[in-house]
Amino acid sequence: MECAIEVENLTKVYGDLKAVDNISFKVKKGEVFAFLGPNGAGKTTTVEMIETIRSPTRGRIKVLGQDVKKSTKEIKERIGVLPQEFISFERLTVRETLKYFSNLYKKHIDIDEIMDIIDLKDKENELYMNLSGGLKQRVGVAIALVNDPDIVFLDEPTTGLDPRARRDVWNAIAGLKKQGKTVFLTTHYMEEAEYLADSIAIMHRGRIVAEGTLDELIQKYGKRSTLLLKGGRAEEAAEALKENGYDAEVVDGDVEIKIVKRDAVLDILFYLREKGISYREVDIRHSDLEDVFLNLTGEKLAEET
Amino acid sequence: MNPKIIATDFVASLKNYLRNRGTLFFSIAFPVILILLFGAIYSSGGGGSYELYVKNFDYENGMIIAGMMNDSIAGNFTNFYDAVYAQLNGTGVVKIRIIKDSEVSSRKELQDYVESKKLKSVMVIPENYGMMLGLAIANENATLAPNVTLMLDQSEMQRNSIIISVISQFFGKSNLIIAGGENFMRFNTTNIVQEKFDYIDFFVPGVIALTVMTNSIFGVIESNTKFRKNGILRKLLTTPFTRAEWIMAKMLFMLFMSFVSTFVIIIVGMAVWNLNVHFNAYMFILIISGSFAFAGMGMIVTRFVKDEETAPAAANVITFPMMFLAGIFFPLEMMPSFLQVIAKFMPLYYVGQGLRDAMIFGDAAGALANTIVIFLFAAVVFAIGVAVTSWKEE
Ligand SMILES: Nc1ncnc2c1ncn2[C@@H]1O[C@H](COP(=O)(O)OP(=O)(O)O)[C@@H](O)[C@H]1O
Ligand SMILES: [Mg+2]
Repeated sequence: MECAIEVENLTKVYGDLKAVDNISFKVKKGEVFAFLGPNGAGKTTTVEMIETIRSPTRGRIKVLGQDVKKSTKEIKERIGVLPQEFISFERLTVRETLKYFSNLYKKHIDIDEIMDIIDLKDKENELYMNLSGGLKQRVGVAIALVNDPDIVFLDEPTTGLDPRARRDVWNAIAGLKKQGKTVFLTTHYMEEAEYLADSIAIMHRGRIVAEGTLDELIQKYGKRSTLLLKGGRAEEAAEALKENGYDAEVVDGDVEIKIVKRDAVLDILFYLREKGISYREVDIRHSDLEDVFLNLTGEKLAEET
Repeated sequence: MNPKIIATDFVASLKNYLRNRGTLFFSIAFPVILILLFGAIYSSGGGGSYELYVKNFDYENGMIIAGMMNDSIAGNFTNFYDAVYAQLNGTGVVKIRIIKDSEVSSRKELQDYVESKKLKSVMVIPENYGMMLGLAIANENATLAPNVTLMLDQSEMQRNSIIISVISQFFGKSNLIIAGGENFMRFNTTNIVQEKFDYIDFFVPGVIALTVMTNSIFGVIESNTKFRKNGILRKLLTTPFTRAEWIMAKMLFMLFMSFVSTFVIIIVGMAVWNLNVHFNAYMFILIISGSFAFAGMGMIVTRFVKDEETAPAAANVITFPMMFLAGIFFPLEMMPSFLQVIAKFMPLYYVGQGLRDAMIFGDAAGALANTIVIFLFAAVVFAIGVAVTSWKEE
């Protein structure tokens, strides 16, 4: 499959600081790719180099098969960007704002269509400055769509929003994927990556410390989910499960079974009933990206949620 | 350069401007208020009394005359003329201002003096007036007495009639005392013909220059700090909008604002203060050059002060002294000479002075000289401004 973005040995140095430290990755066409990492990890520096607006110290970047250094103009026509902490022209209405940005490109799609997709139609004549934070960000996403881009870059699109507004922005982003756009999402919220992303790259101190789908990351770096059977004949149950290929052991009189696949839980419970092995209580402990990040870096991803 | 992109940005700037009361106020209302206010302050003519300048070519002899005359006129004064001045001041209608011998010692000098100081009413007492007057009285022949001359600016009719009536009354009274009413003391009038400039003529070009300065500097500062902070510059960098197009769009809008402000200021000046304006090419070149010069200065400021709040303060450090020292509110001649030297280093001075020469005085040579200075300055400063402004985050 052709790649939307290919990054090879990319490095950006600021004085003594390696803001981006020799990273390589690929983004497939049509996927939502999330760059997950805490503040200062180097996410913005990386996306802005891909967007052609910062120059790499070293390394190669190809966007839609074209080198960013050589084909800057062509690439700009084919990408849509929502910069971090973007605030648009305060005294233009939503419609005027979209029209403004749309006029900058050779190719543009109907503004009404964009407003339908992002659900802005009833706000089209409001001044940007009078919109709520969530609506501003949705306008920001809409602006990134005016040239019908192949790739949409969203740098921390929900930072500072309340949970409801965040949901609305997420829905707008999920809508982009349905349209077949490649989405490059930058975030420090793990739920955002979990909810939206097909692929996730975890960035820490300028490096990509892990990469893969959500399940792959959790399997590989999470503590994995664990099924707990409490009460009953623990030894007998553990033996039976091991025989059937499960990773089970007895800890403090309970059986702990590592879950590899998400639907394994039901299989296990059915299997135990078939065998006539009873227990008093079932519990599941989940692992998430937060665990993954903690395991990889020894640090917490974010203080807030 | 894509004209459609430039037009798009221009229209957006225009909408933003029209919807922002703050910028509207400072670019339109504020200069208009300045003109109405300062025009009114300076045209009120000083509270009811008129300055009457006196050039007395016979002051020295006043002591001798006082000795010869009876007390009724000279009173306690040892100089006859001091008594005359005191009487005239005593009317409360005129204020005597003596033109000293060190300033004017001949009639030729007097003419130049009256023109250069734009005096409106001058009383001239001829040489040996006192002697001749005494001679006439002694011979009881009024024709021997010379005339006192009143030089009056013909455009000031009300003022002239008041001054004439004050002098007539005073002379009439004096004649009554001296010689029972015969006209020994007489005066004639001559016209002062000069192109007359009021304070408002001086002030309006200055306000235009000032407004061009504030519009341009603060306009650039907004687009270079606020738009940078808000990510608009970063966003535009990811679009096909080029830097050259951006500069072009912003400068066109700034010129548009400068001309709108100029237009409004001139209209108000003409409507309220009877301003008489010459429109010519210098005026346009000065406003365009001024806009570029101050835009360049704004760019240089934001190169060093990037913060949205502190950049305007930094710009104030530059614009404030210029506002008061570059001959906008008061003519340079009124300031101490070291400040006059400082003013010559301020671009605003050349814009203001050039506009005055071009719009008001019709002084083509002066306008050209100032235009050349500000044009060259603008070319250099704008080029530096563009060179030091980075749109890109490094
Ligand atoms: N223009 C710059 N000059 C110097 N240092 C910078 C610059 N931009 C970013 N950095 C530094 O590079 C690191 C990565 O920043 P950034 O890419 O913004 O991280 P993130 O987007 O992941 O929060 C940070 O330590 C930041 O201070
Ligand atoms: Mg960032």
